Amino acid sequence: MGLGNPNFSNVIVYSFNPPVDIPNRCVLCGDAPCIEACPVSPDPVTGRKALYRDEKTGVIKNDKERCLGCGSCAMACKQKRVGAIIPNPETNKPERICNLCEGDPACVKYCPFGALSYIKGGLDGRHYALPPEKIAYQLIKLWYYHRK
Amino acid sequence: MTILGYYGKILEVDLTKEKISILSLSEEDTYKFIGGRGLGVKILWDKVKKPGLDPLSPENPLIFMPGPFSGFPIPSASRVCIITKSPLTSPIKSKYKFASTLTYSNMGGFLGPEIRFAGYDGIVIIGKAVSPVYLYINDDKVEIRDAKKFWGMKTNEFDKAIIDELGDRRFKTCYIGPAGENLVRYASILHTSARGAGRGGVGCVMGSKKLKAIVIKGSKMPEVADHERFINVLEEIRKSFKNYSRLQRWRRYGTAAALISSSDAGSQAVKNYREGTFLEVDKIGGIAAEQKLWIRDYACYCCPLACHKAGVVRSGPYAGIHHDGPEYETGTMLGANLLVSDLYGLMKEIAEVDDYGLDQISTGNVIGFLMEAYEKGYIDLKFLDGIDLKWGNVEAILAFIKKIAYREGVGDLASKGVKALSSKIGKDSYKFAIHCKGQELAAWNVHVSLTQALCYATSNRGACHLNGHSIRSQNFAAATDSTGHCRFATGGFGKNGIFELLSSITGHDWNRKIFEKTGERIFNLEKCFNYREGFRREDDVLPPRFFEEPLTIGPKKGAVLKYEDFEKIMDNYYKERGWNMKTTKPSKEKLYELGLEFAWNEIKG
Repeated sequence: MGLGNPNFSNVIVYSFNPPVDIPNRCVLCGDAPCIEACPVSPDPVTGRKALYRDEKTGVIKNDKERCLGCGSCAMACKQKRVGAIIPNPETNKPERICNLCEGDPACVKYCPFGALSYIKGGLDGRHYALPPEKIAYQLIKLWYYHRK
Repeated sequence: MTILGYYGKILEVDLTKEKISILSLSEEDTYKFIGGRGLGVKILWDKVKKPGLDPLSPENPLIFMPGPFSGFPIPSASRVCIITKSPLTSPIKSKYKFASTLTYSNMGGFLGPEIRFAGYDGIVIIGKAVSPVYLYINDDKVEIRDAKKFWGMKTNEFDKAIIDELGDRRFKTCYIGPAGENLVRYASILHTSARGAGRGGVGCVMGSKKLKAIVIKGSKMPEVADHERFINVLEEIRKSFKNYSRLQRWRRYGTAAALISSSDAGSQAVKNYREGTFLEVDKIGGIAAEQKLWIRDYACYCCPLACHKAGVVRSGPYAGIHHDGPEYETGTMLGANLLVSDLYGLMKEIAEVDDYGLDQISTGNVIGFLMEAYEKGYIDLKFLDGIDLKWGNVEAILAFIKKIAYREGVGDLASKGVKALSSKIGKDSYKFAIHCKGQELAAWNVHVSLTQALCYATSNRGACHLNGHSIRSQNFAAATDSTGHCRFATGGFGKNGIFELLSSITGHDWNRKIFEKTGERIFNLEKCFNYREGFRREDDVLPPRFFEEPLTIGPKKGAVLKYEDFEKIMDNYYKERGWNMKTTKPSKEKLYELGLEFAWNEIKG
């Protein structure tokens, strides 16, 4: 495995001017537009498309065998949510969907500032499932331009 | 041949020939000079074969060097060192018209790691473009692109405009402002609109090449020699940082913590270095800024310190301005040194200096000198083009900063630095022209510390506060500047963390002794470069102010240095360095011991 090019990370930090850093990552949306966009017919036994939610952990997974590499999931994520799903450059199959590191997220463990925590979130958070540009715009307005 | 821990590749761009090529590194050089400042100086040495090269000529290389730590998730490994021949410095006498020192200027942020992600151990720019260009690097795709529409743009605006142009926020960028374009001798190179490589005129050299910016993005990763060992060492270092005693101080105040402590110690540059204590420092110190200015802490790549403080002016004529600072250097040079105690006004000055792309330190020093000359009647309002440069006058300071950046009227002379100003103004103004070898001193004052005097006087890039107060610390610092990690974080690595990392990355056995020896090698090569240009012992001096005018206020009232003490400490310094005491020429024995035979051949004369 590689050592540290953040362009390959599931968490990508986008920096803005005035300074706001937004860590962007898959938020495992409750209504999962990515799964909805998956055109693969549900398996008659499990009811799963190629992209499906693991009911036990809540994580969204991709069945690589059945995945067509059409990129619909990435497109849905980009258009409707945060744009965290990035297709593999060769197979075009979705990557960087958060798997919560088997219940012990490394990003939370390694954040030196304790800024990240692993908690159950709701769909109603202020910045829930917003793309980095939109969060940055809100924060810049809040922090830097409120006095202007 | 592969060199473990490195790509072995330097990207070389010739702007005159519009030619892009790869310069191969030798394993000998990477081992002997590490990377960053050290390897950059070696490349400079190889490229500049003769003394007296005009720093603004196309032949002067502008070298961007990350280090072997860059591109790994090592705490604070965010730095990039920019090395070139300085357009700011000069010796007292030399047979070469364009004699100057080399310079190395270092900045944090995200650029250093990204150079390594793109697959290079460094970038060398030579030549000169016909019209303004910027350099586009996306892994192996390297292009020289037209930048006419960006020429003249200030840095904050450009920082946003270039991302719009590229349409990809993941590009890391560095660029010059109007000051660099107009060849102000102490122009800086900016990154993220607030981080800068300011010292020695690296932005001026970039401007002389008509290079507005470098944009870079990469999808590669450097490899380490021993992966398992590296991961283990990294875990140890992460733990060590958690227990680093100064971590919380860095995180809360950054260098701004020193504004008050240094003032209390009589070691702050106040009123053009006339005093060491600023009676109104509480108004601009870290605590005031925390209450009235700062919004968030920001970290450079992988850094747990986050010493960058972003602030916004809340009220008054400058309301709405956002920028980082004041830090110790910016708050002292444009605050205490000019008797500015208006925190919001100071913030405006700092933002403007960065926006034009000037060095914060030299700019504050130059204006401080003119304020004193004006107060003493050596110059009048006419000389200053009607700008009333009285102590603490923020509006006048702002007007003058603009003059410098565009080299308008008196700004043209002021753009050449305090040494040039002093020789024009004449009389005994040299006594308070606070520079060494033509580079302005930084925010640490000298009266109270003999080793601070040594630090400034013996620096190879002209006055430098980061040079080190002893031979050992100078050597250690030179090696530290070569790995890619940050000086401020050195204490967090634990006793052997840095050497363990270097060993696991490069496969060579590193320890403190070898590390310091390497630093000594780098320092001596720099010295040889300067010696060849004509710098001698008479250049290793500081202005009379520190020896003849004792401090008159503060807890260190009465403090002053003695000439004989300075001479003595310098005698010992050269002796211990293995350099000739009269000429400062490094000895053959020393250079051979360090494996610098090639440098001896150049200076033996």
